[in-house]
Amino acid sequence: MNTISHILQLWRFYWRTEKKTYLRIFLIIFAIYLVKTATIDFIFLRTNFDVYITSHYTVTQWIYWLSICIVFSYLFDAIHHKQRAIDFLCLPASKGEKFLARLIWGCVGIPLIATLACIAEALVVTLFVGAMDILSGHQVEWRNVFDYFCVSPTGYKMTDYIMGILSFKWYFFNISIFDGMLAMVFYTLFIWAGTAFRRAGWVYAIIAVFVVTAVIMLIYEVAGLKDMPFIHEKTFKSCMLYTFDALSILFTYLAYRSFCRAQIVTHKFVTL
Amino acid sequence: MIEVQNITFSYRDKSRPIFDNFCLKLEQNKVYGLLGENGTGKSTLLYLLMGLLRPNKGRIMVDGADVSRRQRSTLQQMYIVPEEFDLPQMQFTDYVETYRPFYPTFSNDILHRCMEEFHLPLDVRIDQLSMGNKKKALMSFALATNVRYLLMDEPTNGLDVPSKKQFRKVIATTMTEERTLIIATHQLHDVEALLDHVLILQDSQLLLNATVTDLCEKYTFDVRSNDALTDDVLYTERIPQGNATISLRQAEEEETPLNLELLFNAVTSKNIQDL
Repeated sequence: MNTISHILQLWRFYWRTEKKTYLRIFLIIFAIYLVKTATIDFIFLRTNFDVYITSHYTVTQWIYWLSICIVFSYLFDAIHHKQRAIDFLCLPASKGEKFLARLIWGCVGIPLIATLACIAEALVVTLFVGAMDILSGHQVEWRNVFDYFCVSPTGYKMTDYIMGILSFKWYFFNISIFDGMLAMVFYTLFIWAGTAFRRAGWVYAIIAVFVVTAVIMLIYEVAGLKDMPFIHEKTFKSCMLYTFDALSILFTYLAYRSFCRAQIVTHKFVTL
Repeated sequence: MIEVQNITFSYRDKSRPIFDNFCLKLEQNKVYGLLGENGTGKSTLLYLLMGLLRPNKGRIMVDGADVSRRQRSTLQQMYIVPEEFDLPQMQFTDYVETYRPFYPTFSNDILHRCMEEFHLPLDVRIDQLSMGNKKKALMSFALATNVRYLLMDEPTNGLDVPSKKQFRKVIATTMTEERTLIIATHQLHDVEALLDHVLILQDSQLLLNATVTDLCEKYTFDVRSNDALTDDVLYTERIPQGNATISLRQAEEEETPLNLELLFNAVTSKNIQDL
């Protein structure tokens, strides 16, 4: 019970001291989506509807999760600035409580902010399309405008899209059924990089993500694994999932160790 | 009690260790003055005592707990006022509401008294205050936490002359029997009247570790003319009024107030071996 009340205290602390950061995250993701819609959706992809349907979803998800992962790598940013680190590390709460409170806060709060940004962007685009229709002298059928928001120009239901985001399904890379679990590995990798590297941890994480993905794809494609019979066996799939689980746990543990070893003047590489 | 047990510490980019096999014991209910020239490791020692830096070897124990583990029970009894700090953009009352729950011994009464003494209103935006006023607000909060170990790094830097007087008054009135105050400074005159114990650091070594009572019992600090410079004078400095001197105190002599600057100069110039 004590730990729960301490975590609640820490959440109150995060909210009160970082309100503006969350607003900034909201505005950045909102802006990214707006730019994406204005360029990819309305200019390039409109010319080829078939490409549009498949690309829209992939691009949207890719931008969404990449931006969230980068934001995740800033979860423990306070420990990398001397003056903020003094404040944060001296706060009377155990290291486990601080780490856990931050992680839960990030995992729930940041996707929520990003989802709100997506909804806001869809709303703005809907209103913009409606306004353009009025200006061009068309009779606006508000039901259609509402459909635009609900169904989106791709024919993909906005409600499904939001539920997809909220259900934590990861679509970083198309690697069959492993994509969700592999994305968890990447997400924990981003958190670890954020706690371990003083400068731009997300850059190291992106490099690591591409290396890991490239290695897996190489093994999968070049070695011809997809044609081998055991690849489709249930046991093999389970083994892969356990491996990804283990990697996620390992990276979370490494992030925790990095956080525990954090000092106000950290070395370039934290000694775990 | 704080025990520094044979610590060795160096920043990775510096080859020479800041502390090498360094030991120190700090007792409760005392005001310690941690003195030293710039770059002697005063702030580093404070950060090590708070667990914000980790010694390469050895350990630091606060009331029996290893401080580098940064346990909640330890942190609840410690507070540091750094020389430079960032305060969040909010009203001071919100700041207090945000941080107060973490300190079970927090006293609103002390906070109000300190803020009143510093002539600061409670409903002020802390990020819009001047550096000196920010420091006063943070020190008020630090004292109000009622923690057992309060560490201050150059607390009088940025304070004007009246504020320095207010600072001394606030510290004197809020000191309790439970509390230990460690002040790292090179502004010797600002803290002279507050100290119970003097620690002088130089070249990673503790040159002096003595109580003010012992120093005043053992030595006489006075100003003498050239003719009065007798053999018992251990250290002397020319000043406009004559010679500021430190000499061995005779049994029948009255105790004189501590001249901290003179003592500091004597110790760091290594002219006094007998301390």
